Amino acid sequence: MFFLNPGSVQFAGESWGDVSSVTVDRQATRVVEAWSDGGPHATLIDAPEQRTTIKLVQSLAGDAVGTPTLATQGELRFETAPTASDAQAKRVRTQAVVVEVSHSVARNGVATRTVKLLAVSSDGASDPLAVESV
Amino acid sequence: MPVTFKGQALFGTGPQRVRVSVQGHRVVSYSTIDFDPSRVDTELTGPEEVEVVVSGRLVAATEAALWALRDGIANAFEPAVFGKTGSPVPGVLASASGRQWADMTFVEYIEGDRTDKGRVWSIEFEAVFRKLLKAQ
Repeated sequence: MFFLNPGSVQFAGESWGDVSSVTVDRQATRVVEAWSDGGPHATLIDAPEQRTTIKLVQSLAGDAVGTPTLATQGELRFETAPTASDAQAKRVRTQAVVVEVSHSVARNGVATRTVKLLAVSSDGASDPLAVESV
Repeated sequence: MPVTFKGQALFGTGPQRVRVSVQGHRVVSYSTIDFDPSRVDTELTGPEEVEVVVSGRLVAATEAALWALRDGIANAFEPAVFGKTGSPVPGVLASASGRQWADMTFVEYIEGDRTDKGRVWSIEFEAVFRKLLKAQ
């Protein structure tokens, strides 16, 4: 999933401004592959252990001393809409933990902060990410 | 077609492989028995019990269905399937391709280290069948 210029981004009760994009990546951290005596091709493939990674890119106007603390867990929520009219707007919510914070400055002098979070499921079975209509 | 034992698809319809594990002679070294390194002679003491191993993955749509498969396998070790002598009753083990081993006894069942829950519920397993030698 990819969200460009999401609105009202909040994490653990704090507002994060100037977020230019949020990406949500899914990865199978454990893949079950099994073959039978029938031939060379796998007859069962499953993804019983999965990781949901969220990367949030924030533009920085100047110095930024207070960075998000690693291992902080909280609710990440933001809203997104295909147009500026808020029609068909969606709210995305997830419990997540901060695992990486990095900064970079582009050639044009624009500074960005990238916060990487891992999503946490409430019970292991349900998708940690909830996308709902606003 | 899945592997069957006594005509029953004990391990469901998940991926299964069959291998013959042990065949040949039992070998005994007298130096080992007597703790005497000067005894260099070795004897063949008869045939090994043929062992066939079925390995694969139990697969079910729900946790309850997976437990039903596992309970069915456990029941194969219950006294209900034993003969009057208290020993398991041997039967025919048949591979998916139709290869058959007669007079096989289900002697061991080992599961993998975890139940996997993705799109389906599944767990690795290994089942050992042996052709037990009988006194003539």
